[in-house]
Amino acid sequence: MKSYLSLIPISAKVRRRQNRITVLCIALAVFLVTGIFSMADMGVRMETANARRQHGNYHIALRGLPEEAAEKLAARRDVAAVSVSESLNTDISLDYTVAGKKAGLIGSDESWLTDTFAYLSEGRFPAGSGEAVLSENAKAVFGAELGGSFTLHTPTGDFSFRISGFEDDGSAARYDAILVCLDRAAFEQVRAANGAESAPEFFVRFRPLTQIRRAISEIKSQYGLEEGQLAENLVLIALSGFSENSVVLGMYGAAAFLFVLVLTAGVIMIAGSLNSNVAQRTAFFGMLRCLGASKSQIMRLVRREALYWCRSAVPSGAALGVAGSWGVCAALRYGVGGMFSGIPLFGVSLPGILCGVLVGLLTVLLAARSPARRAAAVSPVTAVTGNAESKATRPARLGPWRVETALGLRHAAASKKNLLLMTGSFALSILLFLSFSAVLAWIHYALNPLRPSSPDLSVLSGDGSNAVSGELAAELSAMPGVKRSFGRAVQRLEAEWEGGGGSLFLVSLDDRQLSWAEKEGWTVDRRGLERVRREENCVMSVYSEGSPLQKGARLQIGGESLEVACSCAYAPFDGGGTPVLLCTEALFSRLTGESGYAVLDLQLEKDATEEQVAALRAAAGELLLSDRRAGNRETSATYWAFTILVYSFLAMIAAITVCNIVNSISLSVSARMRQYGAMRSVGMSGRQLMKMITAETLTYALCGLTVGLAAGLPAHKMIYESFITAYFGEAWKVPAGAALVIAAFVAAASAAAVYAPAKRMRSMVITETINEL
Amino acid sequence: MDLLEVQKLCKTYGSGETAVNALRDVSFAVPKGEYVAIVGESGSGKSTLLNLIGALDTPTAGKVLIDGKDIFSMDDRQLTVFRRRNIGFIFQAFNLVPELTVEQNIVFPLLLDYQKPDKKYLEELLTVLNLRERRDHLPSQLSGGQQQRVAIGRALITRPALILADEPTGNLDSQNSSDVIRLLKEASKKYEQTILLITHNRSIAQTADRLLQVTDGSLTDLGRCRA
Repeated sequence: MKSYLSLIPISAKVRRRQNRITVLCIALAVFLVTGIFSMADMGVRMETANARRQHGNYHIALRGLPEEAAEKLAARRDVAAVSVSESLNTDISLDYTVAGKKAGLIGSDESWLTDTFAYLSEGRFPAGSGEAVLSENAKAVFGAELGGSFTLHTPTGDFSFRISGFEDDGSAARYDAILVCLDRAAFEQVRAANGAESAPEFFVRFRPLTQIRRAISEIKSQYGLEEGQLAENLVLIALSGFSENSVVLGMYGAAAFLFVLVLTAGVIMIAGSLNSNVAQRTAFFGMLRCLGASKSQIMRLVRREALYWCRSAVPSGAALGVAGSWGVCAALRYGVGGMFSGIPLFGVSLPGILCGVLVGLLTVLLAARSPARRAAAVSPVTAVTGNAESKATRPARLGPWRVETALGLRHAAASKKNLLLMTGSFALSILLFLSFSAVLAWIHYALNPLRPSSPDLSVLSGDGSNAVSGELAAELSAMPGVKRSFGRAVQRLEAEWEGGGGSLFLVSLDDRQLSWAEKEGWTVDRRGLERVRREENCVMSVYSEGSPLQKGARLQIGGESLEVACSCAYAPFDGGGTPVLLCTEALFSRLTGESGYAVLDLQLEKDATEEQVAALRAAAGELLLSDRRAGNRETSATYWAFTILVYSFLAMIAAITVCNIVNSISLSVSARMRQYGAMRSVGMSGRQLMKMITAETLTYALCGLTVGLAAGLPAHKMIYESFITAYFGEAWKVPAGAALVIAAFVAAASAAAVYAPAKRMRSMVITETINEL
Repeated sequence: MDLLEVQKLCKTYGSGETAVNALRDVSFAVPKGEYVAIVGESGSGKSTLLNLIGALDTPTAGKVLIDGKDIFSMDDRQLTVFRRRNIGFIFQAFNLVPELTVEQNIVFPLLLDYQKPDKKYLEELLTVLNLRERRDHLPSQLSGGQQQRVAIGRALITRPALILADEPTGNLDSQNSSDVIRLLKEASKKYEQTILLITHNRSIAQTADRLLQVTDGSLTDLGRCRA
């Protein structure tokens, strides 16, 4: 032994079991923080890559500048790249067509198509005016291939091009149009021939570490730019860390919030075990003081002892955290896919590891503060008198309980601070669980591709008319690859109702969609829905706040009197502020005389091939065929990301809570081991001992449950009402399912807490416990 | 008839080269109502012997019969009940439950047995032990002698046939020590209880009916110490 501090590793070896849970707690805290921050880091990396692909790899876009501005901008020291593009008919409003499909035109320099927006998926940028790049869907529409040629029909004449490549920005398929990308000279010819205005847009990317905010204001004043002339690519700016309000800040914010949460939970847990560790060794510290140790030496000893635990806990926690983030990344990449297919798989996040190490050291140092002071305050006389046992100040009240239960309750209530911490720990978990379950309910409402009614393809008239005939609908639904089809007719009608009148959208639903209305929870009013389905003059209104067309309202349409039998939270049609009524197909055709559909939704078989989709496209003829599969995949990926995030967060909170209670009970049992030994010797049975520990555990659990539900249910109600009731009209009800899950969790946590001490108790040798110092 | 019969009791801690024989082939019998003192050096095996008789520990070999029953043939549950009804323990360190009052500590074994305490007997004990005034106090509010008297009360409340006391006066001054011993003896006489008492104190040992000495795990009967 070189110094009194050499005592630490020796005593650590002896007290390995007592310290095990504390070490586990530190490792858990480090693991959680490393994991969370690594995931946030990976998320930002993935978002950056996705954002570059989706939103473009530029920071600002400028309009209305003269052509030579590009060179001047590129000459700036803080600018890394400038690219130019122009567009024509990208809103497909004019009569530009390729192979019968509406066409939009882009004229750009090469870097725009390959660097600023990495849209080029095949081939190369047009070399000269005779070449063009087409959107990927052209392959399906008219069998376009590399090196082939096509004709662009414009209002003033036709232009022929050779296909030099394909681009995939994802929008063309959605709008059922073809995008034609030309070099600037070819674009100029088409533009000039059609007399369209020239409006080039300059995309500027700054160099890394540029003060983007300052650069933007410089450029603004240099060119005298007005509002609307400069557009910021917010996502990329945010990812560069220069945004004041963005998703990324949110992500870092969430990670920081979790950091604080884990830190707090860690401090609570470790402080608890350190405290009891010190309390158990009062006589030892008294002895050290007797032998001449100063107060500051004792404090140093306790702090160093705590830091000693970090030696194994921090590296193992950090390693687990990194491994955990790999696991989650792999799950996201291969399990969820979509936008996550680009997430790095074996990324090591230095900030993540640093934060983990920091949280480990911080928790321990913060947690050691008060126990160190307590240990230092131990009087040397305690060593002499040996009076180190915890002193009760108030007698236990037996009340109606049996003595073992009463003692258990008393043990729980003995330390107010401990009871408060345990109750708080449980209550916090419950509060968070309930809050997040409300958020999950909102995600279910908001992300509709997850509904059974979500279509893969939609056939649209395009102009809002009910041009999809019943025959076509029947033909399409009978084609191979189609699982089911369902259509909606839409008509804008004038109506009168009590106290007013105006136009509204009447939308027809077939029986299948009406049955989904119940299954998918568009409405909970079953009886009202049944009336809409069965009765001739009943309709369903789509909920919107303040609308006069609520349940029970009566209205007149074309001489027919209708009643709103129920209202629903969701409908597959957005009136854009105009009231929407849903009715059966029979009622719709009676009121309007129309028999076609405005939209025919198709759901495909799982193994539907692209050829089958192409056949459907051909069968749809002039009508628009909107392909929603890619979008659905993205939304479903987003949904899964949210769900995984929310659930892993909940799992972490639950893990901390379980660890906390297991630790607390185990410490409480360790501290009373000698007492239990004495009780056993005067006739307490193992079963009674268990009852005592169970009573203590259940006291914490029930207090936590009560406080947690008291705080959590109003929180759930508040979130539900502001996110769901306000937008979808669904009234709040007690989340019985969530409450059951919570009760089960509390029970499981309590059982886990009692299990380990129970095992220890069974193997307890009475003589060892009563005779130990 | 003998209340306690110890037959060829052995206890070995550890194994191989580090094995320690704490008790070797110890046999003796104690008739009902006898007050026996056990003496011996520190580490000679006295406490091991007492713990084995009280079934707090299990022997390597041998038998202990109390009232003719082989206590090691019982399972843990039966043993617990047997212990709380038939054996009273008194420890050097008192081992009272800190949260319970004097009265609650005394009736604790009955409460564990879900029985109602006999009020008259409890009052009698409190009087004999001179604890009436202190019945609502917590152990932390009592002196060492008072705490040990509470422990004696706890050992007597179930009217056990056998009382095992492991250096009950080890933490007490001479006045308190003689009080405790006097109380134990009176009780043993009054309720016909058998007492096994470990002590280092010669003069206390002299007050016993019979003296046993343990040396290196072996027992020698020193016989009756007074006429």
